[in-house]
Amino acid sequence: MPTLGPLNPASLGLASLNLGPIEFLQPIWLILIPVLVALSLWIARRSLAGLGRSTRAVALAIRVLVIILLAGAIAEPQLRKESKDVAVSAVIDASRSVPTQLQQATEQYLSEAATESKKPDDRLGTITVAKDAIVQSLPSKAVTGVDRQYVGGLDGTNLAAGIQLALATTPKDAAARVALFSDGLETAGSLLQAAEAARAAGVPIDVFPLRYRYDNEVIIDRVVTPGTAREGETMNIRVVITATRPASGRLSIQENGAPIDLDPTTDSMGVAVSLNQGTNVLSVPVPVSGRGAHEFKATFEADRAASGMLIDAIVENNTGSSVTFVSGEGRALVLRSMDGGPDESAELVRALLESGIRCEVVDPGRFDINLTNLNTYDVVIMVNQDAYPYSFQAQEVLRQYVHDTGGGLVMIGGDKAFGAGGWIGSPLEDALPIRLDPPQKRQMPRGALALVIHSVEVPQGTYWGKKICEAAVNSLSRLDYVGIVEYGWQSGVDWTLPMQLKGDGSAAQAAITRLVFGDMPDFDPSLDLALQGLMSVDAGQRHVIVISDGDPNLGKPVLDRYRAANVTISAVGVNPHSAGDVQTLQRMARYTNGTYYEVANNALATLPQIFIKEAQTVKRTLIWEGDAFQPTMVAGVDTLRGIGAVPPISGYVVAADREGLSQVTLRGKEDDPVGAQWQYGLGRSVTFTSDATTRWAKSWPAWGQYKQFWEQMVRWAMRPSGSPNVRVTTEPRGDQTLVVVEAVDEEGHRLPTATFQGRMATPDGQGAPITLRQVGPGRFEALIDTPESGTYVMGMRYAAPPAAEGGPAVEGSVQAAVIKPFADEFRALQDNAALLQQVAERTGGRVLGNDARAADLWNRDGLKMPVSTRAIWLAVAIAGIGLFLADVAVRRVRLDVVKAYHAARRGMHRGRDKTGMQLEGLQAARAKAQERLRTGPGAEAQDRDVSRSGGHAQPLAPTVAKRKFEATDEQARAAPSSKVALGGEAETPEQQKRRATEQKKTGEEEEGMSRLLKAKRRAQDEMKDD
Amino acid sequence: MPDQTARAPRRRAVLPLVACAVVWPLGLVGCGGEAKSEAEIPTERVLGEPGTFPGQFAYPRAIDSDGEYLWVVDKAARVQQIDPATGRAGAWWRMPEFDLGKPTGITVAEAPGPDGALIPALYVADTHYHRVMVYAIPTALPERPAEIEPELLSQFGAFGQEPGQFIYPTDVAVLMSDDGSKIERIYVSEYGGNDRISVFDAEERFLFAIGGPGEGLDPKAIEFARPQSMAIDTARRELIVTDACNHRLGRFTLDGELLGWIGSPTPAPDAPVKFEFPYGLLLLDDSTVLVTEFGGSRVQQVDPVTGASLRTFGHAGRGEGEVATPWASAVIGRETYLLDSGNNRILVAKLPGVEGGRG
Repeated sequence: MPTLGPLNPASLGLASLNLGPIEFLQPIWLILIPVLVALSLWIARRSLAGLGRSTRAVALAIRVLVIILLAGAIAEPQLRKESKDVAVSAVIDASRSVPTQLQQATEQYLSEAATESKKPDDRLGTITVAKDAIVQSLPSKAVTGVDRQYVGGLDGTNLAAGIQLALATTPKDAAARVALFSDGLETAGSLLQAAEAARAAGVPIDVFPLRYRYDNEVIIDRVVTPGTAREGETMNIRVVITATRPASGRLSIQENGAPIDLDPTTDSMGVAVSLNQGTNVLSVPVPVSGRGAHEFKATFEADRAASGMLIDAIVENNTGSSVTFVSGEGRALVLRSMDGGPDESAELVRALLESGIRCEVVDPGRFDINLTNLNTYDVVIMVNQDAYPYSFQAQEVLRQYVHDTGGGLVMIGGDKAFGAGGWIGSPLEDALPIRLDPPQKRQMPRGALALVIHSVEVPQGTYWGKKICEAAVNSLSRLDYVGIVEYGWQSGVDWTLPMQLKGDGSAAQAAITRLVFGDMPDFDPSLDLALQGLMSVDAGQRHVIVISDGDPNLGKPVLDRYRAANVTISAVGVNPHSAGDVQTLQRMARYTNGTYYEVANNALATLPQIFIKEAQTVKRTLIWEGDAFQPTMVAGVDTLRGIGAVPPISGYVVAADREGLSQVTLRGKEDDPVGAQWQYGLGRSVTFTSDATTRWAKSWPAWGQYKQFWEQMVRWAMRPSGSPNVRVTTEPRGDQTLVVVEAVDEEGHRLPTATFQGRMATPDGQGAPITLRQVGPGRFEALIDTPESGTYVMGMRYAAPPAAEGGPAVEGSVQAAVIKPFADEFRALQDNAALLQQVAERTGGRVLGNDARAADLWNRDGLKMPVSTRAIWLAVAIAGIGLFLADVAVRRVRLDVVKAYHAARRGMHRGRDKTGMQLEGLQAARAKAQERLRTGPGAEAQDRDVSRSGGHAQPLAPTVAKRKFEATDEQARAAPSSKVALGGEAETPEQQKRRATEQKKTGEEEEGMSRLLKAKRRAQDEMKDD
Repeated sequence: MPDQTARAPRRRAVLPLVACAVVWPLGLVGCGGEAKSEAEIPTERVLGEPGTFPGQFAYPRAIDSDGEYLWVVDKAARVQQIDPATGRAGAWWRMPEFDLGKPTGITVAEAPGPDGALIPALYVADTHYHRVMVYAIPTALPERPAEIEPELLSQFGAFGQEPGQFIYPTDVAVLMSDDGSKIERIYVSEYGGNDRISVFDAEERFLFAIGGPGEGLDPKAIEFARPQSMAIDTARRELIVTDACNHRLGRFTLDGELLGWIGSPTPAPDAPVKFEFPYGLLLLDDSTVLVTEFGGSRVQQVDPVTGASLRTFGHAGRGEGEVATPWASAVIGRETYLLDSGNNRILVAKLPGVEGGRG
């Protein structure tokens, strides 16, 4: 379409134009219609003057129509079809703040409304919203109510996400309304902003406020303890409780999970308290003993009223927590497996104890790895630990412990540690000063792992399926082979990831995103394909992991082939349907010397760990074992000061150098890093890839500098102890927390200046810096965001010049924690219907009444019905061009309908042969006449006439028979010469004019074709006579 | 003159070209048609959509017709009566238990009613509960979709490998007497390690079993790997079975004697017929069978006597006329209802040569 600069409609700001069912996208071009019509009329005054009145009218009408069509085509017409259907997306608040009975009432309401007011072609879609918005049913004619499937976490409300999802799933061919069923309380997102988006999209939001009010409620607003305290100090725990009306109950407090006896005069551990209406502050003095983190958790349990009425409706808001860090001598946490095997940490722990480092040895499966617990210790020592007992969350917490709270980490090797222990790709790998992938240049046996993936029939099965594949692939080294087989609906059994080197893992990652988790009918082809792939690569270890519900068919011959090839299969049964399925998977694993795992719905989070553990099967290739040799010491390293040489080792886990600030302290074969260290965030970490036992380091325990070696390593990584004179307090400020640090020196002088480096580990696993601002001598403050419920642990390192001249510089670290025990979801005591009303007003929606039958959810008032359009410019243009040809025909060809009809009838009666004979006779006569004219006395005269008529004389007779005359001067001059050429005398101009006038008078039948036919017949008669 | 005469027909021949030239642009504005390959299902309409409301499907896996309505079982454990003209659901119910899994087979046949007289019934292979449930068919299509309490006429089977026990029953075929006055036998196919066909009498007492599990490499042995569906050709007195994971059909006498296999677990490249996980089986009026291939995402009409593949329809895809992992088909009159499981819909088509079916 033309979009010339000056006439570009867009540049002129013209909108589209609707004319009935037709819409013009470039209506400015319609201006051509009056302009060209006027021009055409003006031209027609002269050019069509020779036509009869009716013919001229027809010609003019056709011309106008042509102009309208062509200009219309240029204006880009579209055919519009307006929809009559309405789609309602019901956004239902499923969060915990909405009482259950109101949620049930909502579902009933929708079903009734659908029964009463939904027309057959109207649609209903449902979306639940809590922490996340989830589509339960897409808008459809078939949907008649709510069918809840997975609704996600309930401890939050993101109404905005629900509205956005509703807008995104609105069908294009129906007008849309949103019906929001909520209490109006939101803990994330902005409903008003989402409402603006709905208004912009022309989608009204009808609201149905779920009204409630808790008149009897007790909430623990917060528990206040000092952030830090000295050991042995008695501190006050203040519990702030709000009650909507006077209430009584029992308050209990736990310290690190153990109840504190608040009233020694009674048998119970708690204390009876009476609450006044409003805010109550209860203060409990507690002596603290023992270094580290002390978590105090207060719980209030309301009594029932005499009437039996519940005084406290929401139990989730009846707890509150706070953490106090007690400073003291540094401690180490030693994590080692206590699975009945030899104590691999014994020699190390003994050496550390002798060095004055207090150690606590625990099995990782029996230790709750969270930031509060970890921060009780200044360093964590992991002795030959594989990744399996550590959940992803625990691995991330360990990383945060180092990076954000300044803790130390020492990872010591063994046959299950580092890359051989499934730590490749783990979050904790980021905290290590080495890369767990072996260096590219190393020539070593490779592992090959094939994953055979069947359906994961659990909620969010696709998500978990992909997570476990990622976990397994990530834990392989870049030099291992990996392939994934599944049953695809298009290609059947095939490689999603053909067996190949893992490399950087990008190909595997892309393949995992493509997984469809098809419904595999038969294990055998998939297992055969996996075996084929494994055998096609040069690998030292070959292993298959099958994930399935166990119902595909399984034959024995394929298992025989696996045994023959010495390839193991481990089977992971996710929700097996029956004992038969379990047997199938067990048979597969046992027959090939693999392992069978069964995972129920509630243990899905363990799936990735299982795969990591399984992937270790192929990771044994990362272990170097051989003749003992002395690792090379790197000179100038603090942690090795005073040590001349280390004893030989006979094995270690192969890893690679990490670029950047990491420092290798000991090197093994081919310069592999055996010892390394670095600063990671606020903390430090040390690795030793050989072991601390007699497996690979036989002579080490007897080595005279064994104690010195490990003490220096551990003390380097350990967090510097804090000064009890640096105290931290925290104070909640809505979604933020004020952190106050007060620093004095040993003599009680406030530190005039100090620099702080602080970080905070947040509940979502992220870290955030803390910037402290000095607000006075020795007083520093920071306002940090603490919007989510959970634990926020802060670590701060400080350095200050001496308070008094000549005194020692002050250095140290301090920790603090903020706990938000429950979501804001449970803080509200009544609905927020006002917000919902505002949303309805802004978007042109309605506040729905309680009567579902009268609600008319699919109300069409004010809705902009969607229109589907189809471009028709080409059809219009073709019609215009066709009419243009008709215009030419009207002016150039004269059709006498009556005579044409008669002629046709005659033709039909005479028959084809006769017509042919007549034509031949006519042609023969014509040829004869022409011959005579050429040879006879009239020939010369004819030649003369030919020259006068511009050479058109000879063909003119048949030509003029097909054309009508037009009244131009030239034609008027040419016409008589033709006559003469056919044997008549030439007419003078006066004669011609007179004859033309007479012809006009004779009427329409004398015009055009009939007149020409007459002339032709006369000529034929003359020729016959000749 | 002779030249002119000779030219005249040429001029006439030009006319259609001119007409085409005029008409062609019209085709550009929507008047043109698109030729469809035989490989696509010539779909006349589509029934259903993904979802869990009546008339929607959540991975439907079995279908049969009672001559008037369709009966569909899906992975939401629902048995739905579907109007073949509109796709609207009528009566529907959920299986009594479904946590362990959902049914994969449904057969319309007759069963003794409460008074002992034969009435139209649905035999549901309640696969993951290792049993067959027999329900009375509701008589009419309700005005609105209605969840009903179906009348359970009988149920039989329990988990196990002993004769008469089941592991994952997949389909039921009912043999009527010649005059149709009584039930002679009930055939139940199963997999999960049993991979056999158990035969029962009219009182649901075990008679004998046909075959056992195997890879089907010995064509003389009766070995099955997931016999997924069956049909009884009463005219020939034959039982036809889809041996899904061995990619073949088996023909048997009604007493279980092997008559032959069609297709092979290891087909030759030039084999006259090949199947990819044949799941569905329907006996047509002309005694050919319509095989629904889960793996091939297509339906294939086969002459069971000659073993020849007559026609093939459909290919894998999500679009119009395309199919994803279909499990079964039903036929009413000239219309075939292909259960396009992977796309959660039923494709309705008049397939050439396909008429009148019995599953």
